[in-house]
Amino acid sequence: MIARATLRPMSPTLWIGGPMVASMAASVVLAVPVRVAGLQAPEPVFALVPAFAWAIARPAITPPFALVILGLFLDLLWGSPLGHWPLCLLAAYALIFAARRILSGQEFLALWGAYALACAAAELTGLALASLHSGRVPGLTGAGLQFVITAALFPFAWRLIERYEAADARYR
Amino acid sequence: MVAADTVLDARGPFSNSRLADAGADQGVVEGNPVLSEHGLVGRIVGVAPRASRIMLLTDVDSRTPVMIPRTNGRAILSGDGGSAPALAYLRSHDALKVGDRVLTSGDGGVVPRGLAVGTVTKGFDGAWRVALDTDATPIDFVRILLFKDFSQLAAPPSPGVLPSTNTDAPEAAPPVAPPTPASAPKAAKP
Repeated sequence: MIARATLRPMSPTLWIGGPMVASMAASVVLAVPVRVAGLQAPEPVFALVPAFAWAIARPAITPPFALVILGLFLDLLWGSPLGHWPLCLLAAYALIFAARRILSGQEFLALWGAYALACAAAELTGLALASLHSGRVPGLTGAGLQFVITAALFPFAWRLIERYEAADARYR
Repeated sequence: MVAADTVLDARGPFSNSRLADAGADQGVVEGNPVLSEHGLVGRIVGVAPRASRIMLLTDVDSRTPVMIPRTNGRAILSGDGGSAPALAYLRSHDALKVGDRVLTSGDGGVVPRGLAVGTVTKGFDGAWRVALDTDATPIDFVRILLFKDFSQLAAPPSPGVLPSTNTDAPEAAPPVAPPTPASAPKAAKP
């Protein structure tokens, strides 16, 4: 059991707002058109990190609304039809939320697998929505590449969950 | 024509677009073609006072009428999120060949005829695709062609004729490929 003295307070604002701002900032930075050695930076979906951590650590009424805001921000940043990324993020959140009782307390690798499933759910939702909108199925290579890069971000989600577990119990 | 710098780049599977630092204050409107030094990049799909969004040819929503000068064939360049858009609705009496040049056809009045697009290639999926000329270098600075319809391509008015009230006519020639007899621009209708 974690000693009371080692617990750090975490307000709901910090728990929701911190990851939101961080994922927004990371998305903007990686959208800057800079090439290194002729290669472009990847475009992962940073918003899936808090979507996973919020569903695992502390389900509440606020995270879905935060995900809608994050998704709308991504739509405006990347030029997708409004509502595209909110639905993708909510699909991933819903999947993890439904399996939360199974996933709670699992090991690092098991949670990484669940996180990859959530990323796949978001990408498949995106493929379906883009197909409906444009009348053509987008290339699977791009979606697959974005899935791999986004799935590699799981250590950030793990750190968020750990941060919550080590937080002040009064917030629970 | 307006020069602009692209400041943000979306290159995901569901949207390929860029933000340019020129907008309605510079006369940019939705639908304007966007060019780099190598050819057509895309077109404007959103405008703010000092910024505009460029939908690239590779975007899954992008459809551009193109032509193959060698055969005078027509097709629709259809983006799918990948780096080489596909040629759809191909209409030609002769089959395509790898290496054929692809230019805009101007059909429908979306973009002017004759803008350089790329060369025909065969995709891994067996479909005819286009290797874009603009992939040769990073798309940093672009030129937004203030083009609205064919009426702007008409010959300059002769003396004594009142000029057009449209002030968005391009000031410089875009990077067009040399016209072939089959692709020579037709006179615009009044």
